Formats: sequence, structure tokens, C-alpha cells
Amino acid sequence: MARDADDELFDRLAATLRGAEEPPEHVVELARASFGLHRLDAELAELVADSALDATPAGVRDAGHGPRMLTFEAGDAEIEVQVSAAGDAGWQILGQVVPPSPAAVRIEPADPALSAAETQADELGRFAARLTGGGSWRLVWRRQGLPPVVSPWVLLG
Amino acid sequence: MTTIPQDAAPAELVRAAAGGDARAWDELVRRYTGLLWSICRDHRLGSADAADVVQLTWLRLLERLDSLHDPARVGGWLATTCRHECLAVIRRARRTSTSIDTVEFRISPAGPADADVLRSDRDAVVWEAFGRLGERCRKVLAVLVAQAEDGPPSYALAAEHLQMPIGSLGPTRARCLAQLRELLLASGIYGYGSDS
Repeated sequence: MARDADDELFDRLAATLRGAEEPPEHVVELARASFGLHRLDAELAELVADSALDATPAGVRDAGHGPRMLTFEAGDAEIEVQVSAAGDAGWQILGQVVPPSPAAVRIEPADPALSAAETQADELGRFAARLTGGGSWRLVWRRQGLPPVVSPWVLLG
Repeated sequence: MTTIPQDAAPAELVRAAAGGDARAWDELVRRYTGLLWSICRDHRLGSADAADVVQLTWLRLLERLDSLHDPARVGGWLATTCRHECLAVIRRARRTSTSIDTVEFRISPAGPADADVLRSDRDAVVWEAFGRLGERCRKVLAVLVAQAEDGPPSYALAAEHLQMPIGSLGPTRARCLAQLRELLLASGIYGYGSDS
């Protein structure tokens, strides 16, 4: 049977849909619900370093078991965060505000079933927090007299 | 409050969602979550990782809703972002595993290659057009695609599955493909035939 334009279009559709399965309902629900996380009146920081994404020189086996180091930058302020696995589905966070200053720090989960962690950076800018549960998280920090800053979402795991 | 038509253009949906319209957001989610899920599965992510990456991809769009470079190509942007996040998950898994040689799977940190972007755009446009077809057409074409995966398509099996007379399957397929072709042409991003 001669192949026509319909067959070509059908093949292209098949290539796109091939193996497609319906996404689970909870995935669709989370995507819908994330709209509620949109408007946060804060400056968006940039992720400028992530040890999990650093290139590994060819032939070198890096120490993949060490904690993950993340650096966020907003204007002249920085925040450095060290993430280590703690228990089955938990994370230990150690952070440093640069330049050192006290700040209110809140670490928010994307999953509405989890709870945010609230902590304070001391006068040297150091803070610690414990997160329970996985998925994506973001960090919001507020220094006295300055507008709040929010990090991009980071998938832990 | 206006309603969101099923055939609203992607750029309109992005603008409306950026303006705070949750229904426009829901329509974006309805249209593209299947595409994102399939990209994760193509990368062999398990369902927990895939769920995380799909959510993260939507969160990335939320961060960029107001500043998206080309809202008409939001589907391609989502697909590219999703691929990028899938690779990041795979990369992290490799780094923390002692059983796999990390060198073999090195991935450029510079982001997806142009070919990936092109493929993302193309997949997104077809996926999006498919999502704008009526339910009947979506069902008929999906069954025929599923059939075609297991060898030559069997109209008899498809007709039985769809509970429709076998004689009407060919004309229905042609009618649905014609609608799909119109939607692809109307998308105006590129043709659907010779560039594949």
C-alpha cells in the first residue's frame, strides 16, 4: 500500500506519543497546586554554584558521597548551603549568609504535604535546619531592613 | 471572568497565567504534563524521580512566567527544561553511586544541545496540537498509535477496542489526521512533513 501524507503525519504523531503513559493523577495535581506558590514578593537569587553539577575531570573519580554544596547570589549578597542526607528521607542543612549578618531563614517545600523549616542565622551568618521529606525546596531569607530574597527551586535527592 | 477555551494559543495561556489566572495555568498543566512525563520516562527515571522532575519543571515555569522569552513556544521551553532536569537527576545519581563509572556518563553542564531544543520544540508542537483535538480523535489516534507499536496496525483490534465499526475507522483516522494537520499548520512554527 502506498504511503501517503497521512501515513507520514501518523508516524510523526506515533514518534511523539510512543510509549506515552498517562501521568499519575497526583503528578497533575501537584502541577496544578504549584500555581499557589507563584507570587512571592521577593528578589529571585541565582544559583551560581552546585557541586552536584560540577564537571568531573575525565578519569577522576570524584568524592560523590560528600555533602552537596550550593551557592545562591542576589546582588551583593550570597548564601552558601551544605546539604547532607539525614536519615531515610531527611536532609541536614548548614548555611552561611555572606557577608555575615543575622537573618530569618525559611526553607519551603514544593510539596504542600510537607512543612517548611524556619531558623535564624546568628550574628556570624550561620544557620542550621533539618528538612523532612524530599522533592523540591527553596530558601527565603530576610535580613533586617532589606527586601527578602528567594532562591530558585532545588530538587534534593 | 472569561473561560479558557480548549484551543487557546499557548502565548495567551502564559499571559493569562502570569496575570494570576489559575484556569489558564490548569490548561497549561492539562496540555503539557503528559509530554513532560513521557520525557522523564524516556530518560528511564523511576516514577518518584519523574514526579519530582515534572513538578520542578512546572516550578521553573512559574519562576519565569513574567519573563519567558517566547511565550508562544512555552511547550518547547518546558520540554527542554524537563530534559535538562532529567539529566541533572541522572548525573547526581551517577556521582553518588560507586557501582557506575561516572566518566562514561559525563554530561555537558552547559545545557541541552541545539538538537535537543529542536526536538523539544517539535515534540511539544505535535503534543500540543494533539491535546487540542476533540476527545474522540485523541482516543482513536492513541489506540492506533498503541496498535502500531506492536507491529502493523490491526484495524480489527482497534475497532474492537474502540467499539466502533471497522469500516468507519479509516475515515475517522483520515478526518482526525486532517484536524491535526490544520492545528499544526496553524501553530505556524514549522511544517510537519519534510523537516523530520
